[in-house]
Amino acid sequence: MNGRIRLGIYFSGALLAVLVLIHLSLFSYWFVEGGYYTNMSWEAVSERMNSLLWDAFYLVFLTTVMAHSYIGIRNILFEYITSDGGRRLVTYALALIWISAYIYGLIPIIASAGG
Amino acid sequence: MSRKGRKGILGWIIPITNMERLLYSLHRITGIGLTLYLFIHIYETSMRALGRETWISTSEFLDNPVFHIGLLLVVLAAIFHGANGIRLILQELGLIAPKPTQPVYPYRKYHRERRVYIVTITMLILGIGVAIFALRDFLILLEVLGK
Repeated sequence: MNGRIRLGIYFSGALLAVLVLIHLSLFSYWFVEGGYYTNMSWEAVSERMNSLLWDAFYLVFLTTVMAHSYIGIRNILFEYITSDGGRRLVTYALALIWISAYIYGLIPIIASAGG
Repeated sequence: MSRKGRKGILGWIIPITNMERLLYSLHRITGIGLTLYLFIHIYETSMRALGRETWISTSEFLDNPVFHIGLLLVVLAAIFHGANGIRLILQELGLIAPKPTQPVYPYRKYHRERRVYIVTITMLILGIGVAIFALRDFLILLEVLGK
């Protein structure tokens, strides 16, 4: 893993630690009355998705988690695929899968952006 | 590098020679598991774009003890991966390394290890703390589901 990619996984990891805690606390009975069932309801989800602030949160969350997982999986595969051609293929194949999933994940955010 | 002597993925778990090795293996296993869950979660949440009825039927489909146990495992994996990840960042960026000193005989035990243990134990305690939050939520979910 080269230096820039290593820093990328560290930075995205540190950011994710905060974002995941916020995401999990939304569904916790410790912080929200009714916990999981309250915030998984259609009304609560719609309310969040109609807020620009939450849209921005989910956009940053999705981007960070996709980047972090892409680097992590690519890094593991690179340990077993050592040829230049194989590594190039892995890089592009994973990028295709990850970008497709990223676009798919953006749909519910964009579909309701800011109400 | 020759392929001889390479254990491949088995090398992650055999042999577990020390704590560092165990954490390394668990970090990878939880990372792969969380990535698989991420793709399922993206698919599940995209149902919201198909409207109220689809969202409600998806939620009802997922509202069962098996799914909630799976969700608990995902949360515990995320807690472990996050706590160990922070430890790795601190350790690998040298943020918990001591100032370098001249190696003078008789050599003292390198006390970088002590700091690493302190951070490992701190992250372990924090991780267990967050896991207790998650376990309580899980028990409440099961109780609600049982009513």
